[in-house]
Amino acid sequence: MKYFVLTNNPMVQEEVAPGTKVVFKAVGFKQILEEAARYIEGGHQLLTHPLSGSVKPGETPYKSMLLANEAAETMDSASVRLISSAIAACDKFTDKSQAYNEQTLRDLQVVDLSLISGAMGSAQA
Amino acid sequence: MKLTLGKIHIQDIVFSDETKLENGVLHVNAQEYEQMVLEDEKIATVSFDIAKPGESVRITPVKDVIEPRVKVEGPGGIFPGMIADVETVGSGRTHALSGMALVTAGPIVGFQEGIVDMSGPGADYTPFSKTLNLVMVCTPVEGIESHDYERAVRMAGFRVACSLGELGRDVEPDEIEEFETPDFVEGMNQFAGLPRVAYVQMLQSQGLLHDTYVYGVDAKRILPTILYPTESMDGAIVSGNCVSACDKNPTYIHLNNGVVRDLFAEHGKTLNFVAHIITNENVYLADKERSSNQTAKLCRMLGLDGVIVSQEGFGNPDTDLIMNCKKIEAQGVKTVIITDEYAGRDGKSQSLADADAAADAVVTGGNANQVITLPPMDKVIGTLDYVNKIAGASADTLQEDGSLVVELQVITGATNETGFNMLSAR
Repeated sequence: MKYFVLTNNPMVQEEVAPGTKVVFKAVGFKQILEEAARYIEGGHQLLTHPLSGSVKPGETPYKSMLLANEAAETMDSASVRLISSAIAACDKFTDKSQAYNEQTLRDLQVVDLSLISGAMGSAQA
Repeated sequence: MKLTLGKIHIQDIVFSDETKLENGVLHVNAQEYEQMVLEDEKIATVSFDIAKPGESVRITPVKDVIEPRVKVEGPGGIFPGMIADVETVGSGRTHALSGMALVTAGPIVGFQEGIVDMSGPGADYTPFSKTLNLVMVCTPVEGIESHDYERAVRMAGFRVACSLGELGRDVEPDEIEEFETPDFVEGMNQFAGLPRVAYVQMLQSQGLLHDTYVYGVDAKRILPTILYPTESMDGAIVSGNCVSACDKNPTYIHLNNGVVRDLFAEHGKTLNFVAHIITNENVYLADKERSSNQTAKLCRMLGLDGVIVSQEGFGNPDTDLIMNCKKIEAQGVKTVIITDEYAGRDGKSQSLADADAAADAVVTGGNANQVITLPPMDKVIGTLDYVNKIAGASADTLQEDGSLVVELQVITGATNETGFNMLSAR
């Protein structure tokens, strides 16, 4: 497998295909982006867009991203640019994820799972 | 390819024992259509209502908006690959029930958005406050997955719209428009000296509830391709998009794309409108590279002088927009991009999640974070159960007096990126 999944979505942790490496962190939306930024600083290339989905930061607490398994010696500049803009974008939105009920949280997990599954389909193609 | 579009001006919609179109008045037997919708076992209930411009009515959550049309002459039918077979459309004669829309509404997922106010300040921000709306409110059977249900409501909307459109088959239209695109060689000779311009339309294609279909194909699976600009007028492109109400393209907007119409208006006068290029907005970054490479290649192959690029959505698609812009410009083809902005409630934040110096000609659909107060309406079609959760709302959105404090994001079509909106700096 040339990538791993970084996620804060428990459904992704449970449901991605066996054999896929998943790094799960029980943190918020912005914090999982910051976690991705640390991997990128360590030379891992970002393979999916950190603002995937039109469900905006603050409106969903969940985000999953694909990162290259192997770390390069230098940082990938495109990855750095994408993750920096995405982190900056978080502050533009009101966080209302605390107000969600179980069903809404589940819906948001399903959407995030679907987005990352689509990307994994592309990555394996 | 030439399409004659006959517009039948709908003056009123009324419920009636008999479904018919008479003297511009659409009579709807709601029971008949309820049965048609409930043929799909995934839909538990459906009810029809009518909302007219100026009324104190709020419709929410809105899923899709569809203009009923019928293919009168020529190959194929409306919504190829969805309702009609996959014959290539865009030629012959099509009739449209103009001035009205079928609005599909009701909950799909817990955070769903989309408000259309028929009067008051909110009405100024949505183009669908100006149409006579037949609203179809559906609810799902218990335990169904949201994507299965989205498909059921999407298809039910198309079935009802096609059935309504059929009523206009033998009606003499009030207005006739003609749109013609010659083949490349003929166009080059006919319009020698005029700049060769195409429209690059980016289609929302990120995944579940963020999808668009082209001749029935999920747009995330396509390589960028070329359409005659009239193909979208027969429903070759349809919406399966349930999120980002302000800047998504409901099916109505695909049928009446403002960029296509405006380019046709200048076709043969100030420019040669060569083609409609469609591309996607995927999540996987290599897909973005592939699609933008192919789009830029098509622009070069067509010998274009300029393109207009429109985006759908925010965030992830900003990256596709900038990739398209940079790569097309690198082929020596001038670009104008159409986007909208998420510049924060005070308008001071960076508007887009990506940028480049090549993007030096930009049209904006407005700031989706702009805050607006929507006063209470006498009647709600659908449900207000979701208003505190929808994008652009917050826990204190619903005020004691029933008014809503929201961002423009919640209003269907408010910052549409094909220019099909009401905002202007003029």
